[in-house]
Amino acid sequence: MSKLKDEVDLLQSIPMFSNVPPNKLKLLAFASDRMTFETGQNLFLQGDTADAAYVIIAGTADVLVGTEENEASVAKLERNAFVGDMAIFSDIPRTATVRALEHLEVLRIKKEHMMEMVLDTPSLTLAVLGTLVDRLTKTTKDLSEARLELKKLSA
Amino acid sequence: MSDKDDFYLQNQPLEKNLLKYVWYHTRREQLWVLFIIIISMPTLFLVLDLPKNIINKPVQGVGFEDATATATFLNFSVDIPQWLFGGGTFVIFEGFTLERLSYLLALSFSFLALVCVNGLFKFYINTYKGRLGERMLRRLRFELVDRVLRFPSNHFRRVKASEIASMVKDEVEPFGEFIGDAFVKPVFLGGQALIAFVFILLQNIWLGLLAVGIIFFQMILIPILRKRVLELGRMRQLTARQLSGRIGEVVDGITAVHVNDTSNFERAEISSRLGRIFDIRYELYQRKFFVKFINNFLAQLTPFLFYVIGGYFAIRGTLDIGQLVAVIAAYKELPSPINGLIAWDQKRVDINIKYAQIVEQFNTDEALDAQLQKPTTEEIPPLKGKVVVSNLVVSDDSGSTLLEDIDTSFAIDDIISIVGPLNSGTDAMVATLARLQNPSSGRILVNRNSIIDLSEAVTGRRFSYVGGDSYLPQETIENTLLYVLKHAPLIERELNETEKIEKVRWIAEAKASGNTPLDVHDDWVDYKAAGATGPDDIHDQIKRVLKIVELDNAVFDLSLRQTIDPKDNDTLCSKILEARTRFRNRLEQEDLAKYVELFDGKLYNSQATIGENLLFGTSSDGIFATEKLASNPHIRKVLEESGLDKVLYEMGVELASTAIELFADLSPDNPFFEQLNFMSPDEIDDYQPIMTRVNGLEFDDVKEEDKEMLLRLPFNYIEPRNRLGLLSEENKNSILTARHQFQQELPEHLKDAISFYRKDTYNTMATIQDNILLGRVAYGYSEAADKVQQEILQLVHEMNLQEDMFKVGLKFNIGTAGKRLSEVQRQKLAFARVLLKRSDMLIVNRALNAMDSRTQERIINRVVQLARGNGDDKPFGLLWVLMAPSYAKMFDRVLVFDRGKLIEDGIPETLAKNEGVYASLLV
Repeated sequence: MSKLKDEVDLLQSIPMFSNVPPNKLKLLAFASDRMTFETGQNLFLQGDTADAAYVIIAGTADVLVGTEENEASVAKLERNAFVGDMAIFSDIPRTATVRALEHLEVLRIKKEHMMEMVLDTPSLTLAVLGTLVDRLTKTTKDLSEARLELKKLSA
Repeated sequence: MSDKDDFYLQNQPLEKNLLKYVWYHTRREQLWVLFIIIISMPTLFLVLDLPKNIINKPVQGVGFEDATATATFLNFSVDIPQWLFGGGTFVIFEGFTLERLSYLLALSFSFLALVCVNGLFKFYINTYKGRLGERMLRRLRFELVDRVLRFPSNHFRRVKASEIASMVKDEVEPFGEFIGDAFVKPVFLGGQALIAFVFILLQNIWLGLLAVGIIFFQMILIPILRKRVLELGRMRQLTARQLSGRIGEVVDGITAVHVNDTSNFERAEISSRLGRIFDIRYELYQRKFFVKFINNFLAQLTPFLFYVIGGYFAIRGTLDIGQLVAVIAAYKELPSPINGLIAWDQKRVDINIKYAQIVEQFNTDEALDAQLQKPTTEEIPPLKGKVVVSNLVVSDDSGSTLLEDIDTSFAIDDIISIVGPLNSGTDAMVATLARLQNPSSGRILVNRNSIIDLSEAVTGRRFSYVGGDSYLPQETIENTLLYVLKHAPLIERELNETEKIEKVRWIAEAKASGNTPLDVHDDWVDYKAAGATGPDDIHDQIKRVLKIVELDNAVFDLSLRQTIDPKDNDTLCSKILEARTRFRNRLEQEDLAKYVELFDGKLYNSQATIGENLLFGTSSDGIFATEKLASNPHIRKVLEESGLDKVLYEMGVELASTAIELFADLSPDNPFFEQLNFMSPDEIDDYQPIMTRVNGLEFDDVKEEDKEMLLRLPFNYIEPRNRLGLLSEENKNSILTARHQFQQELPEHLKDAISFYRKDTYNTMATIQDNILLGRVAYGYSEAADKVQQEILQLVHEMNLQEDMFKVGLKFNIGTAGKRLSEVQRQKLAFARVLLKRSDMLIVNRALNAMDSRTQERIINRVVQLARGNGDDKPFGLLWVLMAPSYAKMFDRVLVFDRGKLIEDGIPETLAKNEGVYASLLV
């Protein structure tokens, strides 16, 4: 089986892409680069300008925030994680650093291709919107819980 | 001859009348052609006359009535009329007495001889006239360019470059042909016509006057009709010139066309111009042919009148019939010279208009005195002393004032900065000092001489000027730098005997056309001025100035992208081969192996295309270019024999269907197309019908052209990039076998068409970097390219190849207008070369404005140190228009301009403490 086919299947398993027609996913995979990162290598750094999003094919990666001296891991990424997607939709710099925890295989989707795909595929647009709403809901929930916590503490 | 005479003509405005211009320069030659034509007349007459004699006498037998009759051949005698010495015959040569047959042969061979002589005459006359015309053309073009070189700078704001080019190149082109005939033709045709007239007049005065009358009428009528034709001619020339100016603008501004979607506006614009040109030309044709019609009509009207009036008088008996016949016969001779004259006149007027149109553009009162550009090979001594500016006023074309009443003075070696907003007069100030702009009133004195009277040899060598937008023509970096040192030919190139003879001829020819005899192929570089002794150590100076502007590393990087020929750089090539070996060793040691896949004759290189793997080399003249591989018979043969053709064909089918599946409904400018490496966006449509045709067919049944189209695709396939899983190990092995067979069977004459990848040979077609690598940077590692480049740089330093590589880098071609360099690099290059000149005063006008402020500061600081004489070089003066006022603290003095006035002048530190304009600018 070709690697491309494998990558298309992987994309299909990501919720955001699940409703996108297979030939579009194939085009996206075709236009993307398959890259390898070794343990400790950064996919991108917090504060960088964003030019691509990444899908993890194999291996695990760490999501880190904070300064160089004071980094904190906020999440772990595994196969079929889609990372760096938000920064490419707007011109904000990377909000976190992503670093390979072991030998990592990724699919690198360029910003212009992702944008083109979103513009061209309504189901993807909705999916992106859905993902955004989910994250916003989660953030809002976290925030209100944190506020509640804070209130309890100060009370 | 004094200098004044040398430049007198150059300084005169160009003659406005082409005939006068031509006569002035070629009268001797014109008279000589005329003379040759006249002495050729007897031969011409004899060539026309002899056939009649041959037919009449030996052939038809006139004078050979009996068998023994003879005739005299070559009897030269002159009949003396009765009234002179009582008449008789004066015999020059009695001639030979010949029989009929010998006479025939004698006459026939004389005819042949005369034909030859006549032909040679014609050949000589035509060549002579041609040369005459070409020389005049060369002179005219040279004079036009000479004027361009002396135009004041502001003149070019009104004239477009492409219009000047069109005038010098195309518009003068038709003159060459005309100039050769300019005087000869009218004299000649006029003579013919005159003789016919005189004859008619002698036969019958009234008929003669009639003919004269009609021609006179023609002469009055035609110019009236032609007035509009001439005007149209002028318009045609002007519109055509504007068209070429406009096309030049479109090309120069092509980016604006693309980014603003104005291509259709440009189309409409051009179409409207072309429409106008069409209208003008069409009307021109109609008028021209109408004039021709009138001419022909009048020419036919005369014989009609002769028949009617002459006939009437003949019937009445007042005119002898013999006379009438003679008159009509003589008139028949008239039309061709008359028409010829009219045609000549038409051309004369036409060309004169064109000429006047051109000359008008090149005659300007403000042209620089030619004397000031006199070439001199002498060394110009350094300038010391003072520059005094008094009451200086400068205005632009529209009359608005750029500088008002400037009074200042400084020593030539002072270190001065100039500060002020754009359009505050800073530009005008330095432009006037660099003599790019003339003062409207007031003056600038350099050691009591007006700057206007200094020769360019002084201003161009002892002064330097650099602005932010120096135009860099397409050249190598080295030649771009050395350009500023090319004032006069200093070292004559070495010539062998034949070249010496050729050069003498070449110079004589240049002089005959009033061109400069200076040889562009001599060495013009003034090495001494740059602080070098010759071509060998000039690179040290180049390196020095490039270092100052921080361009030396860029030149080194560029060298990696250059290709070099082992014939010229044998040692460097062998060192690069050594670098290749070292690089390979290092790959293994330093864990870099995964970033590069090396070319190995026995292995398939998965990072390279299938085509590259098959060819295993670089095509040198396009025979084996990737897009042609599928149709190349040698490639096809090896593919067929190994059965690879079928394999590749099936890959082609797979690739084509993938491309169609993914890309068919995308527009050709979609960004996804950049990733489609085996097909171009517009080919998608070509492949769709092919796929329909080949669907279900066996390989052997597919038509050859479809087969070829599909075979083309896999040659660009790279597995790690395309990831379609089309390349099995077995196929890779077949490709390796095919590679081997192809190399074995390549015919001798094609051996030069490919340079193969071999471990121990330098690949002439590849860049230096590719030669060191002899492999491909691997896909899939974002850091691969950087790592490899770093490694190469380190290697080059270790092997001490920087010097050689630097020289190779200097040979980098900067592209049209330097477009292959970045804007910053262009500014650095332009700046470096004025430093190379080591002049006494360097004038800088915002020349670093494309650079970031820290780079600017570093460069200014270095140049100021250099100017103070802190280096090994002699100190020089600086007059620097700064981008930021804060930099002025590095200088000894600052001149502050505002609205055309010099408002502050002093030591930067002192001014900064005062509450003046300079201090306010610093905040």
